[in-house]
Amino acid sequence: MKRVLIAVTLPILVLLGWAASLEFNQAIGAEVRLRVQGYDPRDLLAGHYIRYALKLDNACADHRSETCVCLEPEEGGVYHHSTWAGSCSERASSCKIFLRGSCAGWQFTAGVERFSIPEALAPVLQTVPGDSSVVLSITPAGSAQVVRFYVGEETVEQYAARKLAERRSE
Amino acid sequence: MTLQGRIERWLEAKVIDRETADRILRFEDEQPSASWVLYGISGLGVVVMLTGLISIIAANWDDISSTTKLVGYFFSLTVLGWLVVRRSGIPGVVRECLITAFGLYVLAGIGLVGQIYNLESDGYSAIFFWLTIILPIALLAENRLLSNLWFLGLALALSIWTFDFRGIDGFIDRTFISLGIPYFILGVGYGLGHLFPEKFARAGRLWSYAAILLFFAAIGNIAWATGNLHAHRIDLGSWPLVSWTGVACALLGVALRKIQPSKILTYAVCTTVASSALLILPPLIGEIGKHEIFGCALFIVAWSGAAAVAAAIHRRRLFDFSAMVIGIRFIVVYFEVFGSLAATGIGLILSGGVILGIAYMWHRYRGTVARAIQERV
Repeated sequence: MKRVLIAVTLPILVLLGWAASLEFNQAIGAEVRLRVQGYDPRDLLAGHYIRYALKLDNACADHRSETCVCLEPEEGGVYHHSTWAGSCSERASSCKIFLRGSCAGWQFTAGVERFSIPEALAPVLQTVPGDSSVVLSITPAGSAQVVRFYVGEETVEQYAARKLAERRSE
Repeated sequence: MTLQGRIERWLEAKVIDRETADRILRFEDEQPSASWVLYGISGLGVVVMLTGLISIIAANWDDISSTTKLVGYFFSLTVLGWLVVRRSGIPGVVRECLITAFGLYVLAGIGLVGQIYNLESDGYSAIFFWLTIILPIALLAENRLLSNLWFLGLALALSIWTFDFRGIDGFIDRTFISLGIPYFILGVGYGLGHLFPEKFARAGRLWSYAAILLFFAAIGNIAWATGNLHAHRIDLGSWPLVSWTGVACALLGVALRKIQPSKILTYAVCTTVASSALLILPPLIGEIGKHEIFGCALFIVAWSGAAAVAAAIHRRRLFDFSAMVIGIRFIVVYFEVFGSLAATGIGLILSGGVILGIAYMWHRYRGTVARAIQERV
């Protein structure tokens, strides 16, 4: 009985701890908004999702495998852009918000390049719409989670619902 | 053959009398057991239900908030876990269904958390995570389904990891590591099999042996297909040592085993492991191009392993099929290597003579060999 109790409790506690750590990182992280461009496959384990690439200029100019990108708000304050990219160990202390990732060739990835979408909205989101952006929550250590996906000033859910309604009325 | 059938045969041959036969049947009737059909159907029902649940989660219920989804999931997981604990002391179908459902529900939870927090997935990390946290519950299951699902998950995750490589060097590194793991599991399954639940250890031995046979059948076919390409050498580094360590572990585990699942199967495993180890010598696999014989040898080793398993579990048709495949492959490679019909014919006659000689020796001395093995074991 004791062994069964331990065997059953272990996965529950591990999953709880994992979800709690992800929620905590999201809560303490600084939110930044970055422009994106992309594509859309399907994953049985996670449903439909949009895949995209972050638009960060010169993030992989040196083709380093481990790369950090410093982010600062653009003029106007809505979006953030890259002001420096390089080895994480060479990052300046003045770089308050930075994104930790890696370069595969010219492509910078930080584990935030996908966003889950409801199955019902997938038909109008076959490709990433222009003027798309994501809001990331970035921890002080540089790891990030995707919080919201925008198309223009609408959330992706609002945009897709509007497109679906337009399609039905045609 | 069923037990009833065997008893009738023994009675006819006067090996046992009627009184002994009745005692045997009474004893077997008194043993607690559940029909394997019931287990199979129940297992299928559990898997179908959980697959449906995973699919519903994947549809991303946007009408329900993420918080509600998580709270609902952990509440239902806790309830299911409580039922598993409550039922753990009562062996039977209900206990096994609950344990299997719990294991699969944990997998659904990993997918749910990944979806809610938009986590990037490389495919194998989530599976390895699942395998790790449900290992304790898989060890407590007395049904084969969860054990087999666990090793299926391991095979899938290793395959995805192996092919998620960067450059040919990365592929070679990962291939040798992935090849060493089934040998290692085979060694643990035999050498330390007495420390694990019987069903789990058996599933480990089965899956690792199948993985080795499949791998060499595939490599044999690839080598055969590329046999005429210009030879060039690949620098394998020291990675073959990983596979060799696994092979040594497998042979050591079999030699030091405290269990004896099946004598024929055990010796078939030893033969396969030893011959496959010789065929993964770096000088041989370092040169790609001169591969008709090498590819044929790997292919025959793999199918011989399948034939041995078929013989061990008394599946005659499977044995006949494996022997036929080996025969066809044997003939084809002779044509490829020798080219001319005359040389091929002589080679095949000589080889056929050797095979017939082996068959005669087996028929004549099988009893003596079996008794010698019995005395040694």
